Amino acid sequence: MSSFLGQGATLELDRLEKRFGDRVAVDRVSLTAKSGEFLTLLGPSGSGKTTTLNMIAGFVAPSGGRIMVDGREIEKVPPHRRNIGVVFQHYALFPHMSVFENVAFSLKQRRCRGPEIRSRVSEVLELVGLTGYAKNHPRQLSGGQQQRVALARAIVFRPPLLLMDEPLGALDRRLREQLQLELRRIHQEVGITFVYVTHDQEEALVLSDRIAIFNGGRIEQLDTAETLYNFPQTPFAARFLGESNLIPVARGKRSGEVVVRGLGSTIRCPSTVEVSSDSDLHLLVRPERVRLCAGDLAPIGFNRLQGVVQEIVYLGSLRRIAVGIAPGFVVSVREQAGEWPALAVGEIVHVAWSPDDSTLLEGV
Amino acid sequence: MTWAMRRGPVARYLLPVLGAFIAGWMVAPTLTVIPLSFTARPSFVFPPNGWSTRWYANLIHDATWLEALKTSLIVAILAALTATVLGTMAALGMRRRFFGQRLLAIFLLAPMVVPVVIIAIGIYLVFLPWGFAGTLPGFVFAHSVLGLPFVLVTVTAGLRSLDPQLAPAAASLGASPLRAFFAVTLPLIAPSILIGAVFAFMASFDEVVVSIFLVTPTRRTLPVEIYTSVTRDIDPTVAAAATVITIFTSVLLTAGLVAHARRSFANV
Repeated sequence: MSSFLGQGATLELDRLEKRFGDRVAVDRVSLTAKSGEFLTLLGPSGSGKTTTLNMIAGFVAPSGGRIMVDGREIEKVPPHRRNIGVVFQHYALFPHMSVFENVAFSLKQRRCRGPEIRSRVSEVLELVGLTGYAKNHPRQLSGGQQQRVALARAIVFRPPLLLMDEPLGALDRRLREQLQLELRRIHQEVGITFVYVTHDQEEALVLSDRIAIFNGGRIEQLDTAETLYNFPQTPFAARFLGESNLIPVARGKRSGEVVVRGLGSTIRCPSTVEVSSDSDLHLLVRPERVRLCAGDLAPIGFNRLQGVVQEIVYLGSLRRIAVGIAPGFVVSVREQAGEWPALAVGEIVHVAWSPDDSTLLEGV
Repeated sequence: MTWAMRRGPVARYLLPVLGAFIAGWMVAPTLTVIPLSFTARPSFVFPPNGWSTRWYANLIHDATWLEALKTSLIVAILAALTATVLGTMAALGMRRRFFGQRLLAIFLLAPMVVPVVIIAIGIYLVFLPWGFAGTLPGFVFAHSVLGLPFVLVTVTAGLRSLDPQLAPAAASLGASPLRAFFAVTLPLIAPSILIGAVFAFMASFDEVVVSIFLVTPTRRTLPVEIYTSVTRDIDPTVAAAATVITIFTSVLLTAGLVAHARRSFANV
């Protein structure tokens, strides 16, 4: 597959904006995708990620801002001259054309010669694992195979940038997981810059080099998966990626201390965070950092709250325990199943965590 | 147990009989024309006494009938072509929402609803001072207005069944809008266009009312010639002509409907 090794493009969005009447769909989004990077736009539906993708592809005209590919502005370039590959959620294969004709379409537009078209199509069909299907029509293929054709069609002309809009959204779970691994392999083989839209956090974690979390038309945070999980900057980012306990707190008397709102207990938090206001503060603790202990057996220096076991859910090797601290205030704990075999719903326990494992977040 | 087995004797025996009776009631008058065209004598007595094919020979050799048939075919083909091109373009243009789009749709579909006589009078009054009455372009213009709604309806339906992502997909692969249309959209809606064209052809080919206003002694369409002949003299040649038209239009319409039904099923 040496011929596919190309230079992935650098994509830069600068205060990109899209308004539909009064509604702001994309609100001054700025980001940079590095050459050859797998960047995922992750967010709930209506958060502006697909509109952003459509503006990059040229299907939607921006209301403001700039889009640059390798430093060249492309907002005014019509979609058919952008040389950007696009994979659609529902494949959008041409139903009246065979697999070969679908994949060869872009090469015909570029006036490639017959022998070259044939060799490039068979090469890309091999890459996506569809050798021998060239003569089939799309309707004769399964959903997974159709999506492979769509991918082959979008990369056969060696675009420096490939956009994908929830390409695995219409497939069942097992097939989706299999195709995720293939997408990763193909991404590594072709060296194209991938920009990938999804609302599935697991998919984002498996595939991406970096993830941009979208919320209400803005980017909440753009980081590697690891940084996003361990150091989210907003409660939204914390909630969207992974499970989280977000404890509503207010600023304490001293730095490194906060007061649990509604409960009045003072707990300790990392003192490194500078807090500008004391409205809307949350303390984030991931469920796997919280421990259950009986009575006063919590390690020294740990925060400790008393509560009642409300629910125990077995997840194979792990179990998730919900502990009610106060009405409407539940702390979720993840621990090895079997650590406390006799634990039952209704039992009074303590939840404890090290202040170093918590993060103080501003915002809602 | 199938549905048919569960029905009582009334439904099982009476319904088919009733259906056959109504179908016969509707079609029989048309079908009497066929035996009449083979009558031996110059009369419209039914059933005919004696058989011959002389009226078909008459039809082929009589210049008036041939001329009318030729005019009808030329007008119908040109009108169908015009209606198909314009109707397809209208359907494509009206995919996008714009101010006054619904009003425009109603306007273009009006010939299906407005009484033909009214349209005929309107066309006649406009064509008379313009010198279009009785001319070939006049017939073609008038008939293409009547055929356009059929094309608009079938092509709009065809476009609606099209995946809206196909055009963006073609663009992302490097096809300009024009090329995307000819390589992707047009082949996919071609069956709808063809069906619309058949209906537009029919709308012109068996049109009488507008044509009566537009005819001149030298330029007549076949349906008008039939009407004139029946009211003027007793000549079973008219039955032969009617039989030819009936068979021709039945075959064409059946082919169109079968193609349409196939397509509808294929889309399910």
